[in-house]
Amino acid sequence: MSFKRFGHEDLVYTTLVAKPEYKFIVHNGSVYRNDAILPSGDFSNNLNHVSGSEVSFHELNINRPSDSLVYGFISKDTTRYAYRSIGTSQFDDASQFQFGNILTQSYPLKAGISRIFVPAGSEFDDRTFSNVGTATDSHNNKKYIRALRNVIETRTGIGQSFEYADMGTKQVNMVCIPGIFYGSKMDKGSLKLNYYITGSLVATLQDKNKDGVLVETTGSNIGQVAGVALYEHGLMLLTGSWDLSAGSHTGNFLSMGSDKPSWLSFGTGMPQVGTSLTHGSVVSSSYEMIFKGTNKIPTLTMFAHAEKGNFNYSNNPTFLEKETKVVSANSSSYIQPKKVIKNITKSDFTHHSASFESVTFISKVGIYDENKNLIAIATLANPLKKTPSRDYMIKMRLDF
Amino acid sequence: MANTFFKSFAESDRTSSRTLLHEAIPITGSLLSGTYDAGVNVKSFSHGMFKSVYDYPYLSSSANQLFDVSWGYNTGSCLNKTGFCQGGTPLSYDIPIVTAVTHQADKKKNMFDQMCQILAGYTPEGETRLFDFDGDFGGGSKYQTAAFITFSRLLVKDEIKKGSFSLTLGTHNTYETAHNTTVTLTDSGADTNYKINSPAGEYGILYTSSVAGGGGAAGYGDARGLIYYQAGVVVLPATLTAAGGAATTAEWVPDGSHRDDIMKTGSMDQYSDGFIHRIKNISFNNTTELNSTIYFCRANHNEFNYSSNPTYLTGSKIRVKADDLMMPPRSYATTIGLYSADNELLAVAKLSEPLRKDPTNELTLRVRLDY
Repeated sequence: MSFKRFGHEDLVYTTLVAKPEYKFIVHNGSVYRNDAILPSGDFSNNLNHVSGSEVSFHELNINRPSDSLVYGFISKDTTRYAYRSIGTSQFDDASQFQFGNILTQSYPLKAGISRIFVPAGSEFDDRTFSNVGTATDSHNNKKYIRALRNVIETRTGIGQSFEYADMGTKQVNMVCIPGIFYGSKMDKGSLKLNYYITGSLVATLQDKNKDGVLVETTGSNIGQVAGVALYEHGLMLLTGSWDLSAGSHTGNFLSMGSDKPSWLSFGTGMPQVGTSLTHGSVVSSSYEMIFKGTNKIPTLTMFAHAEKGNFNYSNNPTFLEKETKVVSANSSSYIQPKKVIKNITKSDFTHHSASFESVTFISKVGIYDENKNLIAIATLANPLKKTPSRDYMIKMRLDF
Repeated sequence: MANTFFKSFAESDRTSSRTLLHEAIPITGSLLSGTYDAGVNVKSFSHGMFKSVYDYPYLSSSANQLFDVSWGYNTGSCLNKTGFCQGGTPLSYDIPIVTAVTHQADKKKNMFDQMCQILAGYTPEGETRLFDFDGDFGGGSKYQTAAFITFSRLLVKDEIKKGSFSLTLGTHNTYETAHNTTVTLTDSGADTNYKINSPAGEYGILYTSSVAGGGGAAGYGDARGLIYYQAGVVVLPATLTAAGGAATTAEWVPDGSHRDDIMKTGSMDQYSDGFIHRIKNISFNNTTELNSTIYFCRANHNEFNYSSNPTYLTGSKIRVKADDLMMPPRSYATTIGLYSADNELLAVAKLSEPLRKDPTNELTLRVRLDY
């Protein structure tokens, strides 16, 4: 096998940027992704064992009975590798897992959009020496908005009018999108939130200036800022509390009582994280969220050349005629018999043998590193017939 | 970044490890035939050389390919009174297979030859080796016909875990009741006893571990197949699934045609259909190798007690000292950056919570990089 080095112009590095668009619709406690309704399987469960908006990471369990699912497992050892469902303290607890024990991970691993409702109230716990016995705790979900303070405030430095201000104490409706949907970040200007009541569009939020500030573009308060979007984190912090129905509609959005529809109730019915907000059934309201992600795919394009007169020999054993003579060896000599290249050239005429031509068929191209380690193989769809008088340029592309 | 100087790793600060991740892969027969298949899970091709089995109708984007099924025979094979020879020297009244097989003969031979070349390799004289029952390529029985199950890379990952494979086939003569009698093949003991003389990697021998419901073609503990762990290929004698003593009359397809007749005059697809119908259960564990480098990042008592974070200073004074000159400086480590020799940031490790660092303590942070 011969090696050939790539020339300077044989390697082209490019980055492919893909912007997949997603649409989520929330209605009556159900979430739908890209207008898809997942088909039911044959075994009393969904086809891929996830709900409407979720994505299954491996998609290994397709149409399987629940007692015959693929699952992962690993032996506990000193590399300390464990699944994320097992915390560090659990891992270290020998009464739960000893070295050599099997740690399992049920499939499917899945991700879907969710919502965190942060109610109004104190940002921090109030615990001092002066109020022992009467100390008050902030709401459990306050930790989610507190954790974002630096993220929000540092955006001012890149020219975005984000202010944390009283976000720690007022109501915030956080809509969370997992990274698997948006990739490296959400595409600026692509975000659109639509609020429907009884099927009619009553309000739309957009980051029309592509700065992450969500401005109402349809509805009763056009131009009003109702929240911010953190592109790199897949988060939307909605704070607009005005009545989107202009007093014509109420629902059990924020409690079991009658509340006005507002951006604080956007997404009611989608799965919640943290301490869940108790709300009633809201069948008249539905919500739509449209955005694009950004996936950067570094791509290496390689051109391999098989020039005339090159690559006309193969190390494949069938390239040579079958050997009938045996090696002769004695104490003074070792004679390896001559091997003859098999002539596979066919004549165009009957009863006529074509003259010999060294013909190979190129079926694969191996890519080696500088230490001659095979690092990639490109397989051709059909073998290429290579004769000494033909030359080829094979284009290969490698995505990372 | 907490500090603008870099600390180099010593050789003792770095170690490598390899972790094996596994997945249990069960494939029940109900996915392949019967109620949940209705024929749409199995894809055939115009070349007719193999069939692909999916876990869902293959036209759906949700479907995953599970495995392919095909078969082939050796040119030197023959037919004798009990069907296809599986080895040994043909007797004078045996019929050479080359005259018996009348349909897709070249494709069946080519399939067998190709799999032999890839999985068994060549002799020093350049001849293709035949699959060997005991895997030593010495004397003894060779496979003259073989059925092939090639599992998809999605299921096999890096390799099939040795000693975890199990395949149960129906052996009953009647098509409709093919699973009334079964034979189970396992690679028992292969986790410590496997072969390494194949160009396609390591392989084990499949033994009959149980013969249920009236007996099969093989006895208990017989070697009746090969499993190539890295290639994800199972090789079985093509006649294995016939019931004992009735090889030539095993009903292979719904119209009742016998298996040996299908092998001689039928298509490769017909054989594959019958074989898929007889798969009752397959299970194995796959393996993914996870290579890791572990870096021990050591912060000595007099290191990393200062931060270049702009908030660390107020009025050119260290904020945490609160104008008390006697108060020691301290910092809170949140992130570790791994840099190349050219000081390029290659990787970032985040701590789950900030760790206080001052001159009175030392930290060793263990950073694992998987790839």
